[in-house]
Amino acid sequence: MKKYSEEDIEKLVFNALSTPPEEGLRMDFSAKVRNKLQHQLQRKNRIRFYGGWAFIFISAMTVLFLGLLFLDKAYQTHITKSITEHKWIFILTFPLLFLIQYLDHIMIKKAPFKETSTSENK
Amino acid sequence: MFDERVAIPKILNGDLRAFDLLVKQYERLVFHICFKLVSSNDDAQDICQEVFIKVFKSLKDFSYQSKLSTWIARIAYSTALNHIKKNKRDSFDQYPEDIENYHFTLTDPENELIKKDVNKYVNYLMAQLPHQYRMVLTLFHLEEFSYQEIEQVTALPEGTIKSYLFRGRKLLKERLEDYLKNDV
Repeated sequence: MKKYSEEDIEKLVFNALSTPPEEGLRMDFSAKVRNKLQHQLQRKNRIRFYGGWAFIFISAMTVLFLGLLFLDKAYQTHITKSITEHKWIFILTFPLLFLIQYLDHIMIKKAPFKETSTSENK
Repeated sequence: MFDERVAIPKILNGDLRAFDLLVKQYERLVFHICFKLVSSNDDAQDICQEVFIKVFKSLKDFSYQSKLSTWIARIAYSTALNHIKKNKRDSFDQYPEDIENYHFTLTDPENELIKKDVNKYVNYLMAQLPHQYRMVLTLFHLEEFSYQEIEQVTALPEGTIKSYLFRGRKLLKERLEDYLKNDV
């Protein structure tokens, strides 16, 4: 039976504390982090892209409406009045178009085109 | 060789390959911190991923006031602590219950085995210590951080760090002494 001196025990503790755990990260850890980051960056860019286009569209519509208001005043026409009367058509049409596009995009993503064989090997 | 002064500007320009090098350089450090705090390999892997994503997002705020390793260690420490708080449990209950059954044989040819078991036992004891002790002991002994660096990571005063180190080691020594007396 071996007797341990205080120094031996201290050495054992120090050795245990400085020994790395047997467990570790998976070999592909950095690749996984990179993929996750890439995914997040792509999402961010996509939101920026669509947000940018939405901003341009809304700005263009506002400028157009202001232009028509100016025309109405200058030439005493009633274009803006008739637009306001049918405002729900304008308000609903554009979001609906975007919704259809979005649903279409989701449907294609969910059910990719299946390969069909035209000939059978016998 | 990883040079943070070269890599950081590249990463800030969106170079993910440079970030890959950063991950490879510091993954060991981050894993040790997370694993010592949560004690579950799967949880530690998830937290490590979260840590590196945080590092990527906040790298623009790194001002070279401290070493990059210390800065990353601080993020890892706070992320792992948040995880513990969220789950409202400490890690020691995840250790195997039959830890007392580890067998010790002290014949010389089996020294490696004994050493391994002693390591396991010390780590088992360590996992029962409060997380501040665990962190201080890990950073000092395993990662060879200085007192100042540990202070930056844990936000504990230097005196407290020294006291935790002393008390933690003393406790482990006492317990190990009892263990060796009883089992050998």
